[in-house]
Amino acid sequence: MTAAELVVDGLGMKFEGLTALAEITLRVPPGEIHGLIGPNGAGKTTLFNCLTGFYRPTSGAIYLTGQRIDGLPPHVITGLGIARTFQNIRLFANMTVLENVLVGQHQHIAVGGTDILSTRRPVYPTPVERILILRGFPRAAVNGIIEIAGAIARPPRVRTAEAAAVARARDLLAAVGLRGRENDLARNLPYGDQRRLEIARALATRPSLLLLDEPTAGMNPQEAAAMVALIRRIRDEFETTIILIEHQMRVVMGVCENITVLDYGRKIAEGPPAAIQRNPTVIEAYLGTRAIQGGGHAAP
Amino acid sequence: MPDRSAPPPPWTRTLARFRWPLFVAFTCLLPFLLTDVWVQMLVFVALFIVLGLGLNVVVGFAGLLDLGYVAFFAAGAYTMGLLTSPGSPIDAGLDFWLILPIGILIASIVGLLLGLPVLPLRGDYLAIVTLGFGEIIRLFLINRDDLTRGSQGLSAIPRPDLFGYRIDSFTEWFYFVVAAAVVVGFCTSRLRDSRIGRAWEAIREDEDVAAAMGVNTTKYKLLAFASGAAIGGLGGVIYAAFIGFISPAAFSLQVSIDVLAIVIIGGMGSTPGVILGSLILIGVPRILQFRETSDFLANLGWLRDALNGLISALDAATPGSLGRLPPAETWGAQLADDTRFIIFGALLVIIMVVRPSGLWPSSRRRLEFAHDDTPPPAPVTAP
Amino acid sequence: MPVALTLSVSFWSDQFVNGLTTGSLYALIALGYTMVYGVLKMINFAHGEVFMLGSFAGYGALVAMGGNDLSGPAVALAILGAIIVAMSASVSASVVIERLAYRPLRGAPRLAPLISAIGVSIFLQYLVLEQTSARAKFYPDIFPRGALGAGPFEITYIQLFLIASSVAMMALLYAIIQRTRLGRAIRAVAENPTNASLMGVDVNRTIVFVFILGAAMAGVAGVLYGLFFQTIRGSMGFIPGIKAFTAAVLGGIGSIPGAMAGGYVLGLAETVGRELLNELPGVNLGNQWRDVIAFTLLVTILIFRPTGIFAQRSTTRA
Repeated sequence: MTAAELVVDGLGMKFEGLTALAEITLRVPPGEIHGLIGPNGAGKTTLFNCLTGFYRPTSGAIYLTGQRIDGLPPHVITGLGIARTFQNIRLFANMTVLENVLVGQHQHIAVGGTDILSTRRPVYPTPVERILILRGFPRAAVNGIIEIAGAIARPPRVRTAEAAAVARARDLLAAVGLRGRENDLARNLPYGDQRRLEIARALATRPSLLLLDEPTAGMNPQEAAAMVALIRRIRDEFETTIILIEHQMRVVMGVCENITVLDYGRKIAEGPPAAIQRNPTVIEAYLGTRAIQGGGHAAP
Repeated sequence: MPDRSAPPPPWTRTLARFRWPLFVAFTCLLPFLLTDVWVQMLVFVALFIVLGLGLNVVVGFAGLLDLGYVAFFAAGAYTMGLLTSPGSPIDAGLDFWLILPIGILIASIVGLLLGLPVLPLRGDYLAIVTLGFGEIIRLFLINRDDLTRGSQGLSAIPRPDLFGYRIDSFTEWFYFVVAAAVVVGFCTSRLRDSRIGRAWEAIREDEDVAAAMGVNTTKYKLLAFASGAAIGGLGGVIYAAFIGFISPAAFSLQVSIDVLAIVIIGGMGSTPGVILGSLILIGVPRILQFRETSDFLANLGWLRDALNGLISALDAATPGSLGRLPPAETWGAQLADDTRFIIFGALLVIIMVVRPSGLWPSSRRRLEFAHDDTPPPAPVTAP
Repeated sequence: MPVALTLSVSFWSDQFVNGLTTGSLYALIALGYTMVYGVLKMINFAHGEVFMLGSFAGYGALVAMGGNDLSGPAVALAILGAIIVAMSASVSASVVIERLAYRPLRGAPRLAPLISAIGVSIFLQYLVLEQTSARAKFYPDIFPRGALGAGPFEITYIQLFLIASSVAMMALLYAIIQRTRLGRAIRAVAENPTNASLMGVDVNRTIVFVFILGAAMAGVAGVLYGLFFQTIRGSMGFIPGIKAFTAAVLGGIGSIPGAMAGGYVLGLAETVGRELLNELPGVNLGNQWRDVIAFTLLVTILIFRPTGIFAQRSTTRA
């Protein structure tokens, strides 16, 4: 995958009259590691949820390498190249480490037939649309039958695809440092390893844009440093653009090439780390909450 | 699931590898060892194993709570009945083997029609809607009597031929239904171990994250419904051909509950669990009806006397308010009726309280249990 | 084609009153479902049988107090007594069920309590069927006959009594939930059991109270059902139970006012709604279709308003 460019244009998100995001405009060039910071409740995770299709933005547009993606269902957006991790780790806790990564490869394991039901339709269908989804149904049914038949008969094609997926999953696990834990249940991994597994699982979807939600939360400085190294390596080896939400300023300032600062759902600053650290608006937004001075280790 | 402890001795591994062929081989010997009523009972057990395996896909694999599974069973059975019973207005006199795929297809379509509108719903809502749907189907069968002959039912459904040989005796039916169960079991275990099975499991674990990993959750939930429904339809076609007579009364909520109880008492997602569950929930109540059982119970006069003595002691305060147990000779007949359900109900509660994850959980779930970092709540002690 | 109502005003007002009557029963029973779901996120499948036990206990009490020989003011006292006996019976049954079949399963896999509840339901239903030899019992026919009327509008005394006492019970329950410490504890546990226990709420005790309140409502409903329909039997709990759960879901499960409203909506849909459908050309749905209507309504509403008809529509997920 080649790294993607992300353009967010005038994005707004309201919940029952409450404005969570307003007029967010953002451009992340291919291959950049971009930081997203701001006080708690600034709307950082909400922005991620909009980018990944969990929320349907109430205004504005999102483009991934020129293609408009807002309003598409999450699995379609994943297929187009956006992958994410979660702030409060959300692994498939009762599946093995290997299986978690295999689920990430879901769309890349050939089975015959294509995902017709995943055709680009709005995420939140109106009742009428729900019925109209019935169109295209015969083709979807045929594909479903083919997929089920493939799973039962396990022809060589399916076997090869499965074996390749397992091999790739092992590679990914090795890349994040989880070699040898393949058959453990995800819930039994130590905290730091669970974060790594989430990253491996996200990488399995072959992203061109990777969204990391507080990848170093709860880590000590050594672990955080290792995570920073991993993030850099991912950008280089997997050719992805990366956006990360982060509270540890040492991490943000160290790894990001550009930073966007959100406060109360609005973008208040954007620029390279050095400029952000000197930006008076940013400092004011953080005053009383936490210091942003260089190297300062903010409390999570 | 590889075992992380010391490697087991080779012979256990061989045994483990061939456990299913060995089990099936043993099953095939049963008709030689048992009388006809027992074989008949086992036909029902095997039929409910088929149904249990089907519902297991929906409930155990995909985690969708379906309380209306009887709808698919009915769809299969009525396809068979309507197309072959001389009493049906659309009797086409078709062959069983032609109807089998039609019945499966119709049941899957019913499954999709049910699945499409209800899939956005959360687990418990799904349960009640599917329950309602099952009841709608039954009421429909009763009320559209111009088509289904209502409560009178459809009779004289012919039995199938296999290579020109009619499947007739209980023993033949036993082999036939066991063969169906083996095929279904093979299919569902292959599905579980495929990309589809992983997608189902991911949806069961965390639907939103599954979608974020690229799983089209709507599609896979529909596939689970349709696969489960197809198996239910298969069971229905076989049932109609076996019994030869169907009426709406046979497709009550009780069937849905029986099948769900088989899946959960056995242990969700577990094939051996389904077999065990069916033996207990379908087999045991029938065994209680057997002559042998009545004879055995009739010899329990001493137990009756002892219990009546106990009741008399309890009754000392309010003489005559407590009844006495009837003669042991009538116990067999008593068991055949409501008592059977009383025992069934109590059994459901007891098994769930003692083993909440089922009698034979899947290896995966046993693993979950073994490594559970939040221990189950302490057993309740008497106050 | 414009649809003209072909039937008389009095026909429609009868349908309306009938709808309110059954709706009251659904609403009373639905409260038990919705409150238990609110605190335990579990469908208390045995609640229909708790209702049935209340009905039988009320029957026993009425018969013991003289049955059909009752007359005059004694009738009022006997009915009050029957309601108290029925409430006590339902409450005791419910507390025992909670202790033996549900509490050991808290924290177990999600479906285990459901199966346990189904087990309790089957057990109680067949226990009563066996004790009564599967025969129906008939409530003493003691309630004064007659009706109040104004023009085409007419309501029998028993219907008036049924609706009025249901509304009174619901008002009482609502006051308990909104005004008392116990009610606050219940709302806190429904919101978040962990936080509630951190704030010093005794979660186990609160859950027991939820079962007690729900069962008391079901017990009253049992007596009212018996007085109105007169015929009771061991299997009577199932259909009203399912309907009441439907009502709870319609109103947005977990919501107490929702359950009450859902009950009335369902009651009216089965009577007025069915007759309205019959006004359409080519439609003729007999009484045997009312259950189909209830379930179809449920499915339809859940598709369009998954959170129930009265809940606030949420625009997001995840």
